[in-house]
Amino acid sequence: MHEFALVLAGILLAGAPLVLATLGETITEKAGVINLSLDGTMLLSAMAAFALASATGSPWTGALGGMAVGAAVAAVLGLTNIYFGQSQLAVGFILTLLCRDLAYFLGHAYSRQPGPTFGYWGIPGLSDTPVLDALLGRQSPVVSMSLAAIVLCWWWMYKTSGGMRLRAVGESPRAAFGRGIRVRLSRLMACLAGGALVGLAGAAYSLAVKPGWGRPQGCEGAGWIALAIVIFGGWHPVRAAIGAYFFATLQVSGIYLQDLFPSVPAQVFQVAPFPMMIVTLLAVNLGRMSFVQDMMRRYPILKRFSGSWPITSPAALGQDFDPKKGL
Amino acid sequence: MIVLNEISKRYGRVRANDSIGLTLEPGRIYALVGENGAGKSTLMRILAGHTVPDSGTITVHGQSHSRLTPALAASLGVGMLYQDPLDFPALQVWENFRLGGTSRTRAQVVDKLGELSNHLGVCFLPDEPIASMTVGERQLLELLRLLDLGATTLILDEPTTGITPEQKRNLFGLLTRLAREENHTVVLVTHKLSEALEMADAIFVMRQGRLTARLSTPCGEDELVRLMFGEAVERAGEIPAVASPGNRRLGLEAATFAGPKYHLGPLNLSAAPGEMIGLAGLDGSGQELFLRGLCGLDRLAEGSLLLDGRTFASNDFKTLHKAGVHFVPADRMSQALFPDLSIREHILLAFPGQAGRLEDFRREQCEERFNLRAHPDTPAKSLSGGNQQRLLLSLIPENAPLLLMEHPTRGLDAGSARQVWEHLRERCRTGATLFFFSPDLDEVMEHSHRVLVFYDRMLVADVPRAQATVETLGALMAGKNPEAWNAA
Repeated sequence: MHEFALVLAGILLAGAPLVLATLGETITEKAGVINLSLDGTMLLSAMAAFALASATGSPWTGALGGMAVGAAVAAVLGLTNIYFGQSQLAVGFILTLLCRDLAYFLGHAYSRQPGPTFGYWGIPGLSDTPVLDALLGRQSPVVSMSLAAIVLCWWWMYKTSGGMRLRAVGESPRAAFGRGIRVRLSRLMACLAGGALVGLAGAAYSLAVKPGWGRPQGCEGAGWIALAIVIFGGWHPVRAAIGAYFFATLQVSGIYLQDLFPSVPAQVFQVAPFPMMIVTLLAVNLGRMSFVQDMMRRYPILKRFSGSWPITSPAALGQDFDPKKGL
Repeated sequence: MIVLNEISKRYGRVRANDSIGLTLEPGRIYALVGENGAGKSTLMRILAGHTVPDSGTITVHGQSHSRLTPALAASLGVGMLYQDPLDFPALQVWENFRLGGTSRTRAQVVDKLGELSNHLGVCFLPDEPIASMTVGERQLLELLRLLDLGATTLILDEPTTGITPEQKRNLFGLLTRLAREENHTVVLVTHKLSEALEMADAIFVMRQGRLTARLSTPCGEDELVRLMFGEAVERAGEIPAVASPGNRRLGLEAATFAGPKYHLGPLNLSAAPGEMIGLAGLDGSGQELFLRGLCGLDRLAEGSLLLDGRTFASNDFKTLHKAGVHFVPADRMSQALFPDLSIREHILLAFPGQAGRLEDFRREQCEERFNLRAHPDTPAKSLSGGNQQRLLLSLIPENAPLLLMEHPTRGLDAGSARQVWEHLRERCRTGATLFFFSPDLDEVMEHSHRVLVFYDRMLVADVPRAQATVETLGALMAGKNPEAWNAA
């Protein structure tokens, strides 16, 4: 039992930055803007966070710096796309490449250097319950931050008027404009907030999950996975977080499976999570396939087992809007 | 009081509004009539702040503005209801009501909405996503929202398209009450003269971007028609009789069509050569899936389809297309044409066998048969709605046995609409079978030998021409006693 809790604790830690990045992108896309620069942004903010933390000695300052970098990259995308009408996909791609190279170039001096990390937060009083203690008793602060972010993000998106406006802008910018909502400003704000969360995810890598800076840092590719998990989560923060933890589970279980099957090459377990995500996406959407629908129509009892995991994107996802052109 | 002065707006070379001036007084109902493309909607969007005019002023309560924004227009009490409700289908009723309005909690919104809708004798479920509601209900919700915002000038753009006759009566009742009892200004934008004559105190007529007349009711319909179209439009004659009603062109036997969201069936149906069959139903009632299923865009899950004696167990689009089933969707530009390809390229794609004598063939097809007089290199996206439809019709081979048309006259001016119908009738006279859908019930009744009515994703009735009246069809479309009808 204790062993199992330790595995879960590992999953919570490995999943934390993925959760943060996924939530960030979910917010941005919920407003209708696709920020493709995730992978580069995370790398650049991981570098910036580590450098700043090394310079000041405080991981918290580093994390704030990472968030600022993430927001700044998102601001470039937001301004060029929302206010200057450039393609969000093209700008996003270019930013990915630019940020990656920038991170390696600027971070060269910090490569393989020791630096501060977040360390652990002990929660006192959990020692009586060994399972909880193993799970949360000695965890990195990024785990608490990611868990809090899930709740906050859901609450803000679905329970506040600001969140309602965000969803409205992503559903129909025309209708939102018609109701006097400032569409472009809302979208820019969503970009900045999402970018800051992605930046925090980068900091979570370099200050907690994969401490330190180098080439490679170890978080390369996580941004692309986060982009896929946003879709997997159907643009819903809680489901997106579940998706992120699921992916982390696949990654962590690879380590254990490697011990169990020593004859299988290690690379198989490193790569396995990616096709597994595709298989899971297929399984989750099985109900959409025509032969399954035919079965359900013939045997209505099957409908009971067809759980719903709706994957519907915000209706105006990726669509630009210029209020000057009107309707 | 609202005064529009010298309002002009151009789109490229088209003058959508050409120095228009008009005055709207409180407590009165106005109708703004004109053909499609006359500039009615542009003018009203300028008043609602959605479109920026090139020049002119808008004076509301004595204060002049050179342009309005939606927020400013709302604060001046101007609210507009669009033909496709401008709302958020994925969001819930209460959220749609709340967005852009006064700051309220969910409970307060539910109370307010309950109070307003109680007044009208309707009921909204606050947590229902409005994607599952009918256009009529969504319109009503928008109207309540505008009234709650304090709108005193209500602009309704083609409000009766896609709603049942009963919903229309209720809407008109509400509008009359608002104008007479609460001193609101109501502007009805419509191309249906009967509605204008029924409702309005004064009628503005627009033609080709100009305001050509202001009439006080009552006035003669003939005069209105002349002002709108320049000349009286001939009514289309009686529809051609079906030559051999006994023959079977199309048969459906226990056929079930499966769309992405729902399925329709089992359907049993047959149609004769030369028959024109109209489909009636509110948005999402199943007629869309019916047409898409017949041409093979949505799956035939069970049963079989017969065409000219051939039985098809599956409805593969390509096979049916080869057998002569042709579908023309309502959204021509995004579903039927290639915006950047020219007329010539469209012809070449549709008739690869004619590549050798392409130019001659194009002239025969487009110019002689359809009077489509645009340069052959014009890309489809630059064609007018009428020419787009002409091009699409000219892409259908002459002997095509089954035509499926989704709102064939959508966005067309009266002349083009008439030409389209004459052409379709001619095809039916020579043996084609036509299924068509139109949200305009009058159009369905005028051009069908029989009408299939859809309600709640079911085919509820098959009404012969003689019995197809507004009352009968309207009741069936609203789901009223289809059993009684089918028993009779």
